[in-house]
Amino acid sequence: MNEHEAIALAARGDHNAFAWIIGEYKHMVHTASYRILRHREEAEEATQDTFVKAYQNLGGYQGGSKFSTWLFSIAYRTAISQLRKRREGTASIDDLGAHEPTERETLSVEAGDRTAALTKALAQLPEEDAAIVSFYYLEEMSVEEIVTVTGLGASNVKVKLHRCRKRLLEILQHELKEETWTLIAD
Amino acid sequence: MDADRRLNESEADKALRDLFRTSGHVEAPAGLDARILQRIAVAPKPVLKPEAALLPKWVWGAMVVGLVGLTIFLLANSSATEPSVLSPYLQSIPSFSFAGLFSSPWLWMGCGSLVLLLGLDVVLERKRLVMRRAH
Repeated sequence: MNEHEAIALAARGDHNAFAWIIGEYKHMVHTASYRILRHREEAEEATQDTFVKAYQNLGGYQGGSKFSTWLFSIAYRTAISQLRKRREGTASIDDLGAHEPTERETLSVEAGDRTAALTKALAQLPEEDAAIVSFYYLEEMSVEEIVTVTGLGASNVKVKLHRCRKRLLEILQHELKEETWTLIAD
Repeated sequence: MDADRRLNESEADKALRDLFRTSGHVEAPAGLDARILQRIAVAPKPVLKPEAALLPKWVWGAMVVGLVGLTIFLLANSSATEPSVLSPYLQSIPSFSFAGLFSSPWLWMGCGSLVLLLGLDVVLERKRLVMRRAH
C-alpha cells in the first residue's frame, strides 16, 4: 500500500488503511508533540488526538500540500492548545512530573552522549521553538512548510531558527566536550 | 576557541542536522496504534466534504422563478393590441438573427479556444496527479 492509496481508503472509513498511516507517522507526530509538551503522557494524549482529528478530517485534505505537512499542522495546533490549557490551569510542568528523566536523559552527558546533550539543549528552548527547530533539522522541512504548519510568518520563522541555532550551538558546546563537538562539526 | 565561532551558518546547519538525525525521533509508546484505532472505532466516520457550490440553491431557484415569470409575462402581453408598459424597454434590447450566428467565425474561434483550454486543464490535472503519486 502506498500513501496515496492509504489516504484515499482511510477517507472512506477503512481502518486498516488508517492503521498503515499511523504506523508511518506515529514517531514523527509523537516527537513533535513531545518537543512542545515535554511530558510523555501528555504527548501521547496529543498524538492520539492528532490522529483522531486527522481521521475525521481526511475528507478535507485536498492534496495541495504534502500529507506530512497537513498532519504536522494538526499535531502542532493540538499540542500548542494542550500547552495553553496547561498554562491557564494550575498544573505546572513540575506537577506533571515532566522532569522525571527518561532512560536516554539519564545517560551521562559527560560521557559525550550526543542524544542526551541535544535533549537537554532542546529543553532550554521555548516549547514552540523546540518544535520549529525539530521540524527544520529532523524532518528537514523548508521554511515555507514550517510556515504552513505553524501559521507563523516566514520572517518570524527565520528569526526563530537563527536564534535557536545560536542558542543550541552555545548549549551543545558547553554540554559536549570540545573534541566531541569538533567531530560533529566536521 | 569557541566551536560556534568556527562554524559558519551552513556548517552549523549541517552539524545540527547530523546531530538531530543521529538522535532520531522520540519513540512513540508501545500500543499507541491500538489505542488510536480503539478511539477511531467509536468516533464518527470521516465525512467527504463536497466543494461548496458557487451559487447557493436558493439563488438558482430565484433565477428559474424570475425567468419563468418574465416569459409568462412576455407571452401574455405579446397578443395585446395595446402596447404594454414594458414595450419601450423591450424594443431597446438589441436583437440579432440566430441564423447568422453559426456562420460567425467568432463563434467557432470561441469554441476552439474552449476545447483547447479544457484539454490543457485535463493534461495538467493528470500531470499533477502523477506528481502527487510520485511523492
